[in-house]
Amino acid sequence: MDRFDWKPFAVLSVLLGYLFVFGKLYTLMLLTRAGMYCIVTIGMCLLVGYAGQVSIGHAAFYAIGGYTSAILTIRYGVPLWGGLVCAVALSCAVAFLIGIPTLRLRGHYLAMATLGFGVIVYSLIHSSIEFTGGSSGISGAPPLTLFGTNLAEDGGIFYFLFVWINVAVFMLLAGNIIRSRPGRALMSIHGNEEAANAAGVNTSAFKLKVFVLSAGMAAYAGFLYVHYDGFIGANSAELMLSVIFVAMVAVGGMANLWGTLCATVLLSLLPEFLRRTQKVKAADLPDFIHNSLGLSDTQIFKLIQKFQELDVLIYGLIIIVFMIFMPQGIFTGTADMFRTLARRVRAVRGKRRVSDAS
Amino acid sequence: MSLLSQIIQFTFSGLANGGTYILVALGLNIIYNATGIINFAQGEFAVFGSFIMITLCMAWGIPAPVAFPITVLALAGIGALFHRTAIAPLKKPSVITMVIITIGGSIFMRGVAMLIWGKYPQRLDPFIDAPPIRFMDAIIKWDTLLVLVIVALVVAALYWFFEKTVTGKAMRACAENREAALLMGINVDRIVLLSFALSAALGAVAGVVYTPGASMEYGRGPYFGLRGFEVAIIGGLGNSVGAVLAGILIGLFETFSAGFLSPTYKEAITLALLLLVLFVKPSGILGKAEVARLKDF
Repeated sequence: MDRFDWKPFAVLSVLLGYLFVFGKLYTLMLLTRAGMYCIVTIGMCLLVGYAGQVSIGHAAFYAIGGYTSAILTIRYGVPLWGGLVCAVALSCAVAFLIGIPTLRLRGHYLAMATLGFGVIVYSLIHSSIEFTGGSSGISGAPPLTLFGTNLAEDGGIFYFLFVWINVAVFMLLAGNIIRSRPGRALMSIHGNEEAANAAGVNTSAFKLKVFVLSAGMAAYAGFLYVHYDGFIGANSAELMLSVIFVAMVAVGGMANLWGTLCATVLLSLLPEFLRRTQKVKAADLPDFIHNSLGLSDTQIFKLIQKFQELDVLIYGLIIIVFMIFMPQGIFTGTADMFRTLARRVRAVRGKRRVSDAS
Repeated sequence: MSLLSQIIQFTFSGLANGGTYILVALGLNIIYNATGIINFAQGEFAVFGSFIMITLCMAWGIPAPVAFPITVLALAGIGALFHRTAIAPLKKPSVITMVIITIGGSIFMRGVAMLIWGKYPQRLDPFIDAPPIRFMDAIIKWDTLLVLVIVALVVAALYWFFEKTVTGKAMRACAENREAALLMGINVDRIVLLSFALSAALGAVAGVVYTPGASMEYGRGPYFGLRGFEVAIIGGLGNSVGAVLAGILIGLFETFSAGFLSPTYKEAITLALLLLVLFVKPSGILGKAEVARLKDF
């Protein structure tokens, strides 16, 4: 069917090279975080987009990864790689235990179970203060070192590179899975589970495998996060984050890895972008606004403060608009849009030519 | 306080909470039956209902018996608007697309609530301002009893609506089999619109009965949504009788576990019940496995 496509990888590496050399440190920091989310959503894309199993609890796996490694390395002096292995193993084991009863069944029982599970993890992190630090979180996790260099040094420019190389490797891996036998099995499950079963695909085993894989990837991302920031808080397990992970895959066009990648980067940068465009001061506003509204500076300041809270609202709106107008995802959606645009332009030109001739 | 009066106290507050959850769960069930999706904005309907009630009663001084129907109607309008602007324009509606839209809708409504009513909790005066009933050391507020009466009335009214009226029967027919309903001349699109309006109105009632004596803040939506969701699943998705039973069960379980086991881990313990039911009997306490197999979600 479709073979390995190197072009997106080439574009990605050129982009990364450019950012590595010319990017501002702040941009790189934001993109490093986005890259960690990408690792989560690549796994989610396999699970939600290809196998059609919705999970609304992946932030919990992300948090399990981060907290496990943080607690082990800080409290028990376990080396980093030990923290990594335990984090991923614990997350996979938990996913396995949840997956066994729920993935036997057809339908979206996984969504319901993971929703409950995610909130349980959040409330456990929040309430077992002596173990997880409660709402103040855990800080002081050792930074990630590779070949004797601290990756988080120099504003984390090497961390940026490291995370994104990881993303590329996972993209490669996920692409290979999709093009191979298991990938076709996953898609057949999404298409029609009974038919897949009848065709000899052990559907529950495949669903379980991809769920455990995606949970492990989320835990790995959590590990990367905690040894970058040094800090992890209960908000990393929030229901909202799990929901946003699903939204990222959906906006990316479900069964579309590169679309998911783009959507993840866009949606993780969006809140920051919205916050920044709203940082307008009352004095920056043109005079006619002051005069026509007849408001004092403090009143206008309050008004602006109100509008700065719009970011949540716009975030929700963007998700709705994407799903209504581009249900096939940003990648295919934008391509389709250009195609229709080109067709319209051609049609208009054609008409003009006809009218010129007559 | 003796053990018996503690039990009485917990029973009443548990039933009152359970009543709220039942209303949210019934709203979820109605939309689920009409469209096959879980509406993630259901909790936000409750938050909006509560805030509109607070504005009407506290800021504008409208008496509660008048403000209550206005709030419910307003939410019915919001529900219908939500369907018309966000769900209806979909060209090829799939379950997952609609679910993501309701997620976007819940985020959007949370933003709107924060913008209009601010970030701080707001309170609502009790409906009945009389000294509470004392019964064997247990203190039962009049509002708690009022909540129970309202929930019982709403459930009874819904039962009558679905069993006796033509529209209600049409809605049940759609839940049973959309294509067949369409062939029998039922306007399915209008039924879906009605479902959203009705379910938002139920959300409003849930929000309103929850608030007096307590407070409401903009971020409460997911809490209502989650509890309603848990009740709906334990009762068997789409099964209204199951939702009523499960609501009572969860309400009582929540208050009793907080009172006797651990208030800190109340949330985790209550949700563990959800996982238990999903693992042991995934179709819910009253759900039938055969019915569950036919559903998309």
